[in-house]
Amino acid sequence: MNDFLIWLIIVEIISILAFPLCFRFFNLSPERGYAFSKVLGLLVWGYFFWLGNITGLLSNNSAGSLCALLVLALFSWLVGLRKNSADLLTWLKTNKRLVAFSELVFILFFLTWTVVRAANPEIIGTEKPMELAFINSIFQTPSFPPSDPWLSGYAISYYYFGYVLVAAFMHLAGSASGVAFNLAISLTFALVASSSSGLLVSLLMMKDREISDQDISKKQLNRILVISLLAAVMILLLGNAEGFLEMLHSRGFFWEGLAEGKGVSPFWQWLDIKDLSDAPALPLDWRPGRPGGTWWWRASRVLQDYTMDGQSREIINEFPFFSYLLADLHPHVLAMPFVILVIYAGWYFFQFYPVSHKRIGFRGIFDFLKDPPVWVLGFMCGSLLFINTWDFPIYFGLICLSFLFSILLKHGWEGKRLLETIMFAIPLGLVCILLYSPFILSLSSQAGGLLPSLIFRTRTVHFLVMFFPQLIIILGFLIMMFKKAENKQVMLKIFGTILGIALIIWLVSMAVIFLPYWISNQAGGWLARISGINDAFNNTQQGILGIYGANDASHLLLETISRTLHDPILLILLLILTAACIFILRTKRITSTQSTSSPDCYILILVFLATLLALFPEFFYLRDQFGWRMNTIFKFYFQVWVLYSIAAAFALGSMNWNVRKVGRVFLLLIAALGLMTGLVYPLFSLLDKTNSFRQVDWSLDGNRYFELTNPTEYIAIEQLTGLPYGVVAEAVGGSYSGYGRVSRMSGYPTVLGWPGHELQWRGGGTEIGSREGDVRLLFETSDWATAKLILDQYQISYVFIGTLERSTYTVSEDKFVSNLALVFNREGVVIYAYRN
Amino acid sequence: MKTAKPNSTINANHLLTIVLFLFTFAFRLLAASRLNVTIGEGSMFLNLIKTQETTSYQGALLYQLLTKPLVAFFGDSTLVLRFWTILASSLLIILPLFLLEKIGNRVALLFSILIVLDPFQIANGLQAHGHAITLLILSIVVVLLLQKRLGVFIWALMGLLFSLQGSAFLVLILLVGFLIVLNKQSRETFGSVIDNEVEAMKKKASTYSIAAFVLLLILFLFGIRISDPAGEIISFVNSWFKSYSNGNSAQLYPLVLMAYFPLIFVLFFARKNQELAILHKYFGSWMVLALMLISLYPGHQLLDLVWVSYPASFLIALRIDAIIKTYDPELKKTVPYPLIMLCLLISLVICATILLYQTRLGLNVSGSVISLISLLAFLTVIAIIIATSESLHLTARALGSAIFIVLLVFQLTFSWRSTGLTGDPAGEVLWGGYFEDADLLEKNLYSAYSRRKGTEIPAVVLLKGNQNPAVKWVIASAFEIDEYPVQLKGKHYFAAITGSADDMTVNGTDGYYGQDFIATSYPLWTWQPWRELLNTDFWSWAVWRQGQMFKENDVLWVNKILF
Repeated sequence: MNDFLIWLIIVEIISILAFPLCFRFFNLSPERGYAFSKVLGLLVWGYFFWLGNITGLLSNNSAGSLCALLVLALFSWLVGLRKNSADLLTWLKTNKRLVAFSELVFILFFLTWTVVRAANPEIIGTEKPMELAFINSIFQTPSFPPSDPWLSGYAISYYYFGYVLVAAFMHLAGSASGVAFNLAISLTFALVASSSSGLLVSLLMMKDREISDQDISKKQLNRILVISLLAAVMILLLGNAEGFLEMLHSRGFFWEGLAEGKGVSPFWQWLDIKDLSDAPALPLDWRPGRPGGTWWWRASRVLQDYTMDGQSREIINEFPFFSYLLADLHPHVLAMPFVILVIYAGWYFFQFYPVSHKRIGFRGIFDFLKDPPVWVLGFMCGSLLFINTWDFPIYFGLICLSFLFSILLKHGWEGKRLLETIMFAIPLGLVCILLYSPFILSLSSQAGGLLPSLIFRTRTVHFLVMFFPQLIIILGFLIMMFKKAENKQVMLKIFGTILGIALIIWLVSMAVIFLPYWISNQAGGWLARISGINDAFNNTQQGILGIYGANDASHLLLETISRTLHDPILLILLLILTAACIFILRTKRITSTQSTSSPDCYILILVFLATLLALFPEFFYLRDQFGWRMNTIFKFYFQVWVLYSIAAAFALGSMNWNVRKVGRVFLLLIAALGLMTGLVYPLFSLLDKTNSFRQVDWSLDGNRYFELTNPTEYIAIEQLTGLPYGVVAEAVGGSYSGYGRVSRMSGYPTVLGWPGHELQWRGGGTEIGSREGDVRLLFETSDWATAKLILDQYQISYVFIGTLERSTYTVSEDKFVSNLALVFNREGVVIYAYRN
Repeated sequence: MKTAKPNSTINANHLLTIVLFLFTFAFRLLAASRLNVTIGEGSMFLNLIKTQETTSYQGALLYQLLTKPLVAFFGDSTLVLRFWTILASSLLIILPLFLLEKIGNRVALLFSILIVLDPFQIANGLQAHGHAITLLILSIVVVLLLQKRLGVFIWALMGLLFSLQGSAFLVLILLVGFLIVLNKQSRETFGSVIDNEVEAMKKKASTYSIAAFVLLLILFLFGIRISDPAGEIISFVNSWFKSYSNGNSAQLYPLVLMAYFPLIFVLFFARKNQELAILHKYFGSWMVLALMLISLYPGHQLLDLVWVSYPASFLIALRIDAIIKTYDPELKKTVPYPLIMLCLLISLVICATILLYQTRLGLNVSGSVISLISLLAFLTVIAIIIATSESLHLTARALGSAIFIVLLVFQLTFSWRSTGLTGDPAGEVLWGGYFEDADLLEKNLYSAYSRRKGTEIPAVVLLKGNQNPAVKWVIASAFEIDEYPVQLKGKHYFAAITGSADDMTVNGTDGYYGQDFIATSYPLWTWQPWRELLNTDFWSWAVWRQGQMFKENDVLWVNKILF
C-alpha cells in the first residue's frame, strides 16, 4: 500500500509539473489537455532521464531520476507557466469539475487494478521474466544504452523506453522490481482510462461547442463527463465475443449427444476456434472452465491460419483487457497511454492547426521545421518509435491522414493535397527520427520487410468474434451518417475505386511472388544463363513454399485464389467501411464559420485508419523470425481495437447530436447487445484469474513466489546485487522457462539468457555465436585453463551454481574451488567471483 | 547601514588584505601538501578518480567541473584534488573588500583577519570535501545581492546550487528564508528580475546557447553528471532518518565550536555596533539557527561548523570594531588596568594548568595548595582593584579587555594547531578520522613492490573487508586493488591489507609477514563530549592536544617471497 501511495504521489507531482505544458501546447482546446498531463509528464520526464543517461550527464539512480523531474519542472515553468500562470489558475478555478473528474477516474482505475494485481502478483510464465529482466537491467546498468540482461557485452536491442520509465519510478519511489512491475501495469491501466476518457471529453465538448455556440452548461458537462467513461470501458474493460461463446460452449449450447459422451456440434466445428471445437466438460455450467487449462487464454487466439498441408499457425489477437489480465508488461501495453496521447494530439492538430500558408516544395519543409507545433507533435509521435516501434508507422500515418483530411476538408478535394501532405510528412518524420536518434542507432531491427500474405485469410466470423462489440456500434453509426448524406450514388463510385485499388494491390503482390517462379522456370531461357540468379530464385521459392506448406507454386497460386474467393465477405465489408468513411467525409466541409462536424470527421478518420489496418494483414505481413503473420495480426488488431473503441464510444456519446430519436433507440439497442457480449469475458476471466478474490495472499511483490519456492537462490541473488556490477554465468535454457533467473532478478547481465528471444530481438544469431556451448563448457570442463579462457572472453565476474545449473550440466566445480573466490555458499547454492 | 562612500582607489586596507590573501594561500598550500588524506576525502577521491561509479558521491558538481580538467593536466595528487578548496578559502579573505561601503574599512579588515584565524575555515580550506567553494559563492551571492546586481546574482545563485553538498542545504534553507523576507521588502520582486533576465537571455540567445553547449560538452567529456546535486539532496534528506554515528553526536558541536573558536566568547560580553544593528540581527539569527540545525542534522561533520563560525567571525569583527570605537577616548586612563588584569589572567591560567597537570600526573598536594592560593590571590586582587578604581564599569572594561587578549592568544594557538603543521594532526577533531600512518603504509608498500620485479606476483593489493576509504585511496592511487571478500591466496598478491590478523586464513598468514598500522585515530573524548568536560582528558586535549586517542589498526601483509 505504501508503494501504491508513493507512486500515486509521484504521478500527481508529474501531472502538476506537466500541466503547464499541456496548457501551452493545447491552448485552443476547451479542456486544455488536462487529462493528458500525466502521460505527457511521464514522457517528458522519461525522455530527459533517458537522454541525460545516454549523454552521461545524469546518473542512473534516484538522483538522475529526481534531476530529470527538476528539468521537467524547469522546462514546464519556462515554456508553459512563466507567462500563463494567471490564465492557468483561472482555468483551474473555472474547471474544477473537469479536473476532479479526471483525477477521480485515474485514482479509481489505478486502485482497482492494483487490487487485481495484488490478488495474483506473480511474475511467472509467458514473457514476464523477460520484461522483469529488462527492468532490472535498466535499473542496474551503470551507463546507457542499458546492457542486454541476456547477452552480456551488448546493449538492449528492443524498444525499451517503457522499461526506462519503470526503472525511473523504482529509483524515485524506492520500490522493489517485483512491486514496480505490478504497479506499472496498474498505472498504465489507469492512464489509459483517464486519457481515453479525456479524449472523448474533448471531442464531445467540441461537438457541443460547435452546435450550441455557447459556453457549455454545467448539466451538459456532467453528461459529457459520465459518457466519457464509455471510452475507458470500450478500450479497457470490454472483451471480445469469444468470452460470450465460451459461456455458451460451457453451458452446452449447440451440442448434441453430450450426455452419451459423444458430443457433436456442426456449429462449433464450423466456428473453428481451438478448444471450442471440443465438447464441453460435464456438468454443464454458465461459468466457463477448462479442466487442466486456462480457458481465458483462448480469447487471444481466436484466429487460425492453416497451411496447405493442414498445419495450424498460431495467430495472436490480444485485446487490452486480456493483456492487462495476463499482466505481461509488454511494450504494446506500456505504449497504450502514449498512443492515446498521439491520437489526442492528432485530433488537436486536425482541429486547430492552420495550414493555409504552407507551401509545397523544400521551402514548405523548412516552414514546417520552423513551426514549434510540428516539434511537439514529432516529440509525441516519435516516442512510439521508442516505446513500441510497431505503433509508430500507424500513428505517424494517423497524423498524416489528419493533415491530409484537414486540408481536404478546409481547402477542397484536390490532387495536390497529397503532395502537400508529403511535404508535411517529411519534416515531421525527420523530427521524430532526430529526437529519438540515439535509440534508433542502437536498435538492430528484427523486421525483414513486407511479404504478401497469400493463402492466409482471416475468416469473417473470426473477425466478428474479435471486434463484434465495437463493430456493431460503428456500423450503426455509419448507417445513420450515411442516411443523412446526399448524393448516395457517389458511394458506389468510391467503393468501385477502392475495390479496384485493392484488386491491383492483390494482383501486384501475387505477381511479386509468382512472376519470379515463372521466370526462373523458363529452363534454358535467358535467365538461366545469368550465374547465381537462378539459385537465388530457387532458394526464395523454397522458403515461400515452406511458409505455406505448399509443394509447388502453381498449387499455391490456385489455393490463394480459392481461399480468397471462398470467404470474401470480410474483405468486402472492410472495403465498404473504408469507402463509407471517405464518402461521408466528402460530404463534410469545415470552415471557420460552420464546422459542426469536425469531431465526426476525426472519428471517421480513425475508423478509416482502423479499417485499413484490419485490411493490411489480408494482403501483406511483416517478415520476422516467425515467418508468418502472427505478429502482424497481433500488433495491428490491437490498434484496431483501440481505434474502433474510441470511435464506438464517440458514436454512442454523440447520439444526442447526430441521431434522431428512432435511430437513437436502434443504436442503443445494438450498443447494449455489443456491450453485453463484450462484458461476459472480463467478468468470468477476472474471477478465474483472481480465484474470485477468495483465499488470496495479498501482495504486490511479483518476486515473492520466487522467494517462497527458491529461498536459498533468492538470498544468493540478493547477495549478488550487493557485489560490484558484473557479468554472471548461469545455465542457459529455453524461452518461457525458469532459465535466466539470476540475470532477470539481479539485473546483472548473463552470457546468454533465452536464446530464442535473443534471436528475435537481433534478427539473427550472429551476436549469440557459440555462447550456449561455451557456457556449458564453462560449467562442465575440469580444465581451469579452458574455463579461464571462457571467463575472460565474456568478461564474467561471477559464476552462479544453483539447482538449474546442477540439473542442466554435469558441473565440475573443483576448478572454481581452486581458482575463484567464494562469495556465497549455502545449501548447494554457490557464487564464485572472478577478477578478470 | 553604513553611509555609502564611494572609494575606488587602492588604500592600505586593500594592500593589507591582498598580503593577507597571498600569505594565507601560500600557507594553506603548504599545510594541505603535508596533511594526510582524511576519510571523507578518501571516499570522494576514490569515486571521482578511481572507480568513477556514477551512483556514488564524487563531490559537488562545481567541484568536479573545476577539478577534473585540473586532474587531466596535472595528475591526481592530493594537492591537485585540494587545490580549488584552498584557493576558494583564500579568496574569501578578499571578499570583505567589496563591502567596504557597507561595513567600513576596519570591520572589513577585521573580518578578513578573523577568516584567516578561524580554524573551521582553515580545516575547510585544506580538505577537498569541505564547504570552501560553497562558502565563497554564497558570499559572492550575498555581495551581489547587497550591491543589487541581480542579473549576475541569479547566475551566481545557480553556481551556488551546483556547489551544494551535505549540510550546506541547511544554509540554503536559511538563505531562501532570507531571500523571501528580502523579496517582500524589495520593490522589485525576484520574479520580475527573473523575467527581465529571461528577456535579456532571449536577446543573446545564440551566446547563451553556445555557452550552454560548451558547458554540456565539458560535462560530457569529463563524465560529470548534472544529476549529482539531486543526489546530494536525496542523500541530505535520507540522512535525517539516520542516527548519529559514534563520536559524532549533536552534543559535540557546540563544545567543539567553543573549543576551537574561543573568540566567539567576545559576542557574550562586547557591546553591539548600533549602526549595524540589522546586520547583528541577521547574522546572529543565522549563527544560532545554523548551529542548531547542524548539531541536530545526523549527517553532519565538524567541518559544517564553518557555517556558524563564518557569521560569527563577522559579528566578532563588528563587536571588536565597537570596542575600539568606544575605547579610544579613555584609552590613556585605562591602560594600566587591562595590563594588570592581563597579568592576573595569565597567572590564573598558569595556576589552572598546574592544577590540571598535577591532577593528571598524581603529584603531591603542596602544588595544588599553591595553585589554590594563587587563585584566591587573583580574586582578592580583583576585589582590591574594584574597590580602588574609579568605577566598577571601568574595572569590568579592563577585565573584558584582558580576557579578549587572552582569548586572542588562545585563538592564535588553536588556529595554528588546526593547520596541522606542528603537533599531532590526528589530535585535531576537525580532520574526521585522520589516516595517521599513511606515509608508513606507502613506504612499506613501495618497498615490497620494488622487490616484486622479476617474480610472477602481480602488482595487486588485496583489501579484505570494508576498509577505511582513506587507506583505500592511498593504495589505489599507486596500485591495483582487489576488493572481493575472498580467501587469501598467497600467490596472487604482493601485499594485502586486512582489518585484523584474524581476517587472514591460517594458510594465508604462512606466506606473509604482517605489520600493524594506524588506519584511523581521533580523540576519545568525542564519544561522550559533555561528560568529558569533567574529565581531565578533555582539558588535556584542549590545552596540549594530548588525550586518549581512539586508534583503529589495520594489518599490512607482505608476501614472504619478497623478503
